[in-house]
Amino acid sequence: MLLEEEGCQILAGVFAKRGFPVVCDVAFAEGNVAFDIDGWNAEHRIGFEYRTSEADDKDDLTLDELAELAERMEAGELFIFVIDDTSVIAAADLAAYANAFLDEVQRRRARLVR
Amino acid sequence: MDTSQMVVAINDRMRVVDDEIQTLQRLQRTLGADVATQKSELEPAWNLLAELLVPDLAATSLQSVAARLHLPALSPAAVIERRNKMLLEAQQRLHKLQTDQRVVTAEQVLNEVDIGVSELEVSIAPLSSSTALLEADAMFSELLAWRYGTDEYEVRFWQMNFYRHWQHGDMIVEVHGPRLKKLDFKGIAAQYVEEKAALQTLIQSREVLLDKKRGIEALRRMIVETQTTIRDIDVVTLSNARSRVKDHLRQLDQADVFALLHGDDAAILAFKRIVGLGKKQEYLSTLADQQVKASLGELHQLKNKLTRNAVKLSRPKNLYTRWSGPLVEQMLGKDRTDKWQKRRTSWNDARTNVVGFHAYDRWDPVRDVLWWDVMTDGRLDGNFIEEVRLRGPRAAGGADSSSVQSAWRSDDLGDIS
Repeated sequence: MLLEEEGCQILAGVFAKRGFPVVCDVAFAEGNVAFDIDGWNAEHRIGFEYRTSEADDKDDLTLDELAELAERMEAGELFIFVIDDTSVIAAADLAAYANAFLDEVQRRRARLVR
Repeated sequence: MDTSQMVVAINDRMRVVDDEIQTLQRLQRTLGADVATQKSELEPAWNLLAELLVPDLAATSLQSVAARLHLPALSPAAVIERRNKMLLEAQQRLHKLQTDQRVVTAEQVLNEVDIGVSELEVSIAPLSSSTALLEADAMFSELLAWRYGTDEYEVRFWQMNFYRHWQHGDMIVEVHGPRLKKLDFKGIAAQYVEEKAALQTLIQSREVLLDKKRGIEALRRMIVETQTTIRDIDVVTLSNARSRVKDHLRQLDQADVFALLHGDDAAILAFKRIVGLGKKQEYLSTLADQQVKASLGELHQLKNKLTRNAVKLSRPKNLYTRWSGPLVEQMLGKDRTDKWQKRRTSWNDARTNVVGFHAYDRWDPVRDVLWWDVMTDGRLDGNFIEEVRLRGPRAAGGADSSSVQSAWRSDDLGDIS
């Protein structure tokens, strides 16, 4: 299993390559949601949150906050790739999943523009 | 002595302590095995005594043992009554078993069961292998649990698992789709659920048939057992009478048993053997559980102390220290190799004497002589045993002990083991 630090580095690299350089560990506060997000690009309103018990992050983002974020992501207001550490994954797989997520975001944004 | 020489000396001492620990651990294991051996000899010893007391079912034999042990349950009338009752019950049970419908139709039912099981296995085999192939894929059960591919799948596009499930779902379709003639995971999952349900039903049906078979086999075993009881009714009766004797004597005090056996030398010798085996067990257990165990504890403490001292020596402040006289002894502890050697020799002697002792007739219940003294010829210190310690200094080498020795050696008493 990847550790949070390693996972965040991989995700930051993928996001930057795809044109979304992120700021790490930045405070995110919108609506009723307030937590320290692991990676965030404010301009494109896209980022990632690596949820591991390792850093007690699971306590940082509550289920209510996650539900509110989910609603706003479905509406295309912002996009946060949420990674739970419950599954055993390799670094290459994590990068591939992040790319697939960014492809999906691209498709959704294109639909919104139309 | 400089610090590097001290380190060498401590390491040498540690090796000696380790060797002693290993030797004592071996001795402890040996003593454990000895105790187990003595235990295993106890029941045969009781059997021997019971056989001597109840040699057969002849009326004279039963009358004699019933009177001697004050045990009316062993009178000829009582024994014969129990025998006849047991025989009648066995005959009735046998009749009931032999006329049981399951036994009467057994051959036909077993035949049907075999055919039924074979037919079911023909259907079970492909379903079992098909479901097993999917279950062998660790991700399959996870996707099934998440209801991947159905409307009930709740993982969303912003969750990493969405892509992970997608990837593995595609892989499963690629591998199993052609075999199952399905184009998507939903189809594969539906077929799996269907196959699994069918498989469970078939397995249950097979179990019902096998239960029938097991039931018939159990009845047949009971028939054989009952027939054996009827055929060997006298052997069983004799065995029960002997068990009754053993149970009765086990509840009595040793002295009372010797009193009851008075005049029957063979039975007394057999009972001495029982008592002696118990004593051997007690002595060997005490040696292992108290003496050797305690010494092992002390040796481990000493080893820990030497380890701590070795750590102290490695500190920079001790790099140029000179070690001499009392300081050396303080770091190394006293050399107890000779003492340990003597102690081990004494324990090994005790063990050899106790284990090798078989002349149970040498102990006399009337005289105040301990089994320990008999087993060791009164030559070994047995103060680690409570009864020897309480009895006082005459245990070894005292007046009693010498008379004991001469008493044992004056007769040409054989080994009864």
